[in-house]
Amino acid sequence: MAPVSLVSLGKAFGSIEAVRDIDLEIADNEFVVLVGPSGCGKSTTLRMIAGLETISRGELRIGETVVNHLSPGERDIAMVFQNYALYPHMNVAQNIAFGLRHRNLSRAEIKAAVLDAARLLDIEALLDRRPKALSGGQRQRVAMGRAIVRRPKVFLFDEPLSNLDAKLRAQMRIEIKRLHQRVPTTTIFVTHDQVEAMTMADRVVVMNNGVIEQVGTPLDVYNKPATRFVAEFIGSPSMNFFDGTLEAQGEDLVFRIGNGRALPVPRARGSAYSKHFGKRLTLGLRPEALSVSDASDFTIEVETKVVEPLGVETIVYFDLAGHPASVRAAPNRAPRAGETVPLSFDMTFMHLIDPEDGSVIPY
Amino acid sequence: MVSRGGILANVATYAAAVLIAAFFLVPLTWLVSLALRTPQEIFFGASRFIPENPTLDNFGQVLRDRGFLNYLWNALKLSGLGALGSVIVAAPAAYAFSRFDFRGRGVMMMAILAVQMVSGLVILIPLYRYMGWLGLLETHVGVIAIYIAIGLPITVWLLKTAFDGVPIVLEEAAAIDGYGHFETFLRITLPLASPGMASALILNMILNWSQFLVPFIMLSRDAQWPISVAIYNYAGSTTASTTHLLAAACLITILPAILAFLLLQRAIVSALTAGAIKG
Repeated sequence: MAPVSLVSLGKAFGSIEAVRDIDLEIADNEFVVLVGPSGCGKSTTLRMIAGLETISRGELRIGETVVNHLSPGERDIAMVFQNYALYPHMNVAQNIAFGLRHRNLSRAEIKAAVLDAARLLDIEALLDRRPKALSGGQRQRVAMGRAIVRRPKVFLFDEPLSNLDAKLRAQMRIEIKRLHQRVPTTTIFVTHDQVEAMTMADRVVVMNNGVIEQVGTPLDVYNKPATRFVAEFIGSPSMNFFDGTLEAQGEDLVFRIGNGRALPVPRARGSAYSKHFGKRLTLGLRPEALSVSDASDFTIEVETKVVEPLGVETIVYFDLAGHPASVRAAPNRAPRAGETVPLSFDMTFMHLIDPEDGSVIPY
Repeated sequence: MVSRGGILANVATYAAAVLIAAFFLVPLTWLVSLALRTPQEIFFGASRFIPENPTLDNFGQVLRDRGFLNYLWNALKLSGLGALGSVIVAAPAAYAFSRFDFRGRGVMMMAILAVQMVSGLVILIPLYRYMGWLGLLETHVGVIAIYIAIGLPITVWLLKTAFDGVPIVLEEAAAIDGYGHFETFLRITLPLASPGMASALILNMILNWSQFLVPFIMLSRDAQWPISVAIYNYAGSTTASTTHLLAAACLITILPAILAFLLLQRAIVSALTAGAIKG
């Protein structure tokens, strides 16, 4: 258990900078999720923390120690890999015990530690089996057992759930969270799945193109994205984007979208947006900020394209002013594909994005 | 329905297979026929292919010959130690080729393979003088050293493929578990590559077992000869009356190689073709 500090961390492969200027303070026992599309540098960052990748620039501290030049074994970390990386020629007990052999423990102590870990993960019955005789979920548990048995300062998870089917993934998500509650340890978890990031993290670190786009609690990054990338990446279905201009209409502000329709901007945003009058901007609205109804005094009619019933809700896809968009609808009131329906807009959830640098204008 | 062309192609394939099999099996069955004959029946030649009074006496006589057993032992020792040496020397090179990314890796791999193309005959005279200079003529150590060198190129390639098959992530996991490079190699990589290493060992042994030229040139004392050289003694003194013994000795000589290949053919073929197809 220790805090982890990444100070201006960078990694270059030849002339290609895979990761740059990573500044991140991870508190003791915090659960941090690095999330981003493939190639964004999240795994490289994790591998630098693990010591499997050299650090080209910056400083990495675990606890009070600068670990830049320490080997993985000297950093007191444990890692769970995407493909589990269980030693196929050892049984489960030997796999879990492998990391303890260097610690001057007696046989009895090692056995007790292995049993403890196995009990915690409910894999006692599997201790004599070889990895190939285990299911994906069981392998994942053994990999976690191998990590926790050493009681390391930091747990690292490199996309550990991506090889599991959807049901098992949801189950393991809960188990990892529960494990973190029972054995509080600083945890850094890498995933490309924003649902995993949102559901597991104390704080989410959204990465893109080798840099951090935003760090915040799951609800922070969802409700107040700092950039268009974050707004688009976090949340499913994705946020809707409409290009247009910010204009004054009497005393009020409106956002005029491509087809000439003007959407009213809440008055509270007036001062924040005043500098951006007349500029080309992008309006961002999450699907839940729209609704299929004519209840509000401002509606736009659209033709629905595709309807996706999910049971708990139905996602309705349509085009508005040349932009593909979606809205969540109650399953019993969902339209059919091809129907023309009225859309209401709740503009209190709006985001304005500067298309030049992709930043969300703060309000 | 198989098309007419398909049937023809199948017939042609089987015909070719039968021809090739016959090419190898006819001499072998001829050898079996001779080895089972009494000295008198040898004179019938091909006219009596299946002996009227088949006998195993010839094998007994050859195996009771202390000299013959000594030749077998020499052959086993030379081919076994030569193969083991090849695997031990090739392993670090193969590991480096498999795991480290360095400039000229591909070129060096090809260069090593190119050495394999050089016929032993071409280098025999310089090799003889060189071994003489080292004082290794007339010694088993000298022969084993040459076997090791001859076996190296193919062994490096085979072992590289075997190491390639061990996922790097397992070595990374061991590094995180606190193990250094060498310990990881010993505890993780080596055991997991052992099927490939065993195949390389057996293949080298089979190749060394049938080596004739090297021990023939290097060793002149009868007591040091492996069976492949000594068998020429039986042939060299051939008269009609010892042909049956020569045949029995030949069969005994090739039997270990054939048995080893039959028992381990799946492992050997998979080692030779590993990496050739994705599976």
